[in-house]
Amino acid sequence: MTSGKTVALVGTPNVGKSTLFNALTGLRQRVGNFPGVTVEPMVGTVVTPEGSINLIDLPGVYSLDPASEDERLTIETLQGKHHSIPRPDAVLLVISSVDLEKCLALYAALSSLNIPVLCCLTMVDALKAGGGMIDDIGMGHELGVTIIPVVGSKGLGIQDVKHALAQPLRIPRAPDIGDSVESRLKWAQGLVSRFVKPAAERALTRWLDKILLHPVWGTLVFISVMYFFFQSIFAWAEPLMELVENSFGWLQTWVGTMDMHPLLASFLSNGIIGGVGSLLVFLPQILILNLLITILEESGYLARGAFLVDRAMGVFGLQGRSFIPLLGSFACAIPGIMAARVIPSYRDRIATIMAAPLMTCSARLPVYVLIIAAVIPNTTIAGVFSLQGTVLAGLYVLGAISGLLIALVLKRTALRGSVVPFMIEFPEYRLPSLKNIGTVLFSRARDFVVATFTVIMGFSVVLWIFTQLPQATIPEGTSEVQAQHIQLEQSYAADIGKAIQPFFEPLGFDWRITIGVLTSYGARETFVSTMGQMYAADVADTDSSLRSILPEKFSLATGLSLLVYYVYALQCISTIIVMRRETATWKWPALAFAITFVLAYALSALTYALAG
Amino acid sequence: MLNHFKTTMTIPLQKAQTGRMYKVVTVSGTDVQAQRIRELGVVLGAELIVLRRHPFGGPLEIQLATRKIGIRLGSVHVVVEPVAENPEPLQGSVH
Repeated sequence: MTSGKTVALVGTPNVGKSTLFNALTGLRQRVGNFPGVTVEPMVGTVVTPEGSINLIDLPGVYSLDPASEDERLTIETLQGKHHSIPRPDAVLLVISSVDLEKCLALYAALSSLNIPVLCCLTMVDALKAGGGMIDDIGMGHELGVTIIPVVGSKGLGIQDVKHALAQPLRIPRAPDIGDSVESRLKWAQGLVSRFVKPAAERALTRWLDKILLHPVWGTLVFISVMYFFFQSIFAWAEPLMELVENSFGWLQTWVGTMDMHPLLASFLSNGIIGGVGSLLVFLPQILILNLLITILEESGYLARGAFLVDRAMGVFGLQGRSFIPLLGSFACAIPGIMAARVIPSYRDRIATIMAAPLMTCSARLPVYVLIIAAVIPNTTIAGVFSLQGTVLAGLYVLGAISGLLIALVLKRTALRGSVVPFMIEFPEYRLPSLKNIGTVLFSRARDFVVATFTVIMGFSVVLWIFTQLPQATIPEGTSEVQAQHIQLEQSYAADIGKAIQPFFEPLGFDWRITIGVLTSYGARETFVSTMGQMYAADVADTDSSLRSILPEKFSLATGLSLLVYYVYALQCISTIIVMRRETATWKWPALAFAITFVLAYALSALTYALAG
Repeated sequence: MLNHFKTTMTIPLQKAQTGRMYKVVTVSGTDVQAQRIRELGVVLGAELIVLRRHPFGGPLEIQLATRKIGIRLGSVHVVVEPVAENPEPLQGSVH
């Protein structure tokens, strides 16, 4: 059945390329597995009655002269010069009716490559809504290429494209023009003036932009939108995360009631179910963050927001599009790092990804709250500000500034390069397509689960082995809290904690804290439950006995040092895996781990020395 | 004489008056960067209007034929000259 044909999806940025890719391939898409590729393109399967076709979604380009790593990949692939991506059999070029000059200039450049081309004309609905018209048949005739109008979000024309892709395609004849940007644009302008009646700028877009791009009002709206954005992640994700946690807690209890060897029951409940649960608990935040970003992007607002915040991000060597991934990282670095895909420049994307893990994620919050309650007195500064609240806010600021400074240093050193000018096109405002959002959400969730499943499960099993073995003998009638305490005290983890503890001595960590820090690598909030087991205390949310015990166990210096350690240390295996997945190399996660570890160790030791 | 007249008329894009039509005279900078600005349509002879200049050296909002783009020039120099003595502000009236 398969024709085995490979087609490259090509277009300039902002022409509806990814919407078309989603409409053509649906859920049959995966990350391309090409060795040694820094920016892994998505590959999808287009099912046609004539057989299936591989569609590679290549990064957007304007011409055959690359300005970034992403563009170089596209151009080398099309030229057949790429070291691991084979040359496609044909090109599916996406051209936008509302921005046709730019698209036709790319067409002119591509026509010199001697490769068959099919053109897909998008945004015809937007053009018509603005009173414009286009003679796509006449233009196709003039160019000697098939042009198929589509509305990707509504699925119109998609079947025609699939059918045409399965047929033999024509190699376009190159227009007889010079090889300069100016000559290609001039040629494109000539064509547009003959075949297109342009749309009037929509009054809505003009009116909205007067406010939304205004330096003062636009900024105020932007801050409000971001506030809502940030609140929604927490407000919507929390009940869902609780639901996941409770369901898996219920499963664990259920396994406990079954008639089997206690060791097997413990392995199933803590090792396996606990592992799957700690993976799935990330999903609500990943889905919600991606939902909000896709809505912002599709509606056209993301481009405006990035424009407004560009100057401020420029101070740290980043650009406007870095803002949303970093803001999202305050909920969880994983969706934040995945969201960095919206940044077209490779260097800026890496710098953003490296800064993301230092934003205070929601997993750090329970740790901060516990330690602050234990060591910071519950008083007020100047009679108004709570000292505990101020310290908490200070930790958020410390993390954010440190992350941005790391990005700045990297942009000045490892990621130094010519400053690519920041350019953003403002598309017309439009309603997002539900179908496209659904496809994006599903594929993001799948990407995360596929990338992290093995490692999280492995870590969970290893953690189980070290904390539950060798099995301690628990006397009859011991409470569950007490039983967990006895088990942990006698486990391999306790031996390891005691063996490693001298290394953390300069930071003021005893062997119990050392184990808490080590178990945090699965997920930071594990620190709270580990401390609970260490001191045989329950860790219920509000008036836990752990909170009343800890002030006696932690000195101020140890508490502060521990807080600083959690601000910096990259204690999250899932984040490391996702960094590897998004940068396609171990180099960046390894560097991030090393930098943050050195900072965490040195600054915690300094804090302990100063406060002690 | 003519040259002297021309240089006094041309100004960097950043200094352009908002709402007024200008014509691009030169785009210079390192190859890749200047190339990208040109690919977006800021080419020799292109007519554009600066809709808004954001404070503190922030980006420019530019109307280019029917398209609207945001642009931070970085190290690229774009020099423009006014198109005509048109006292009417043209903001938002271009199709």
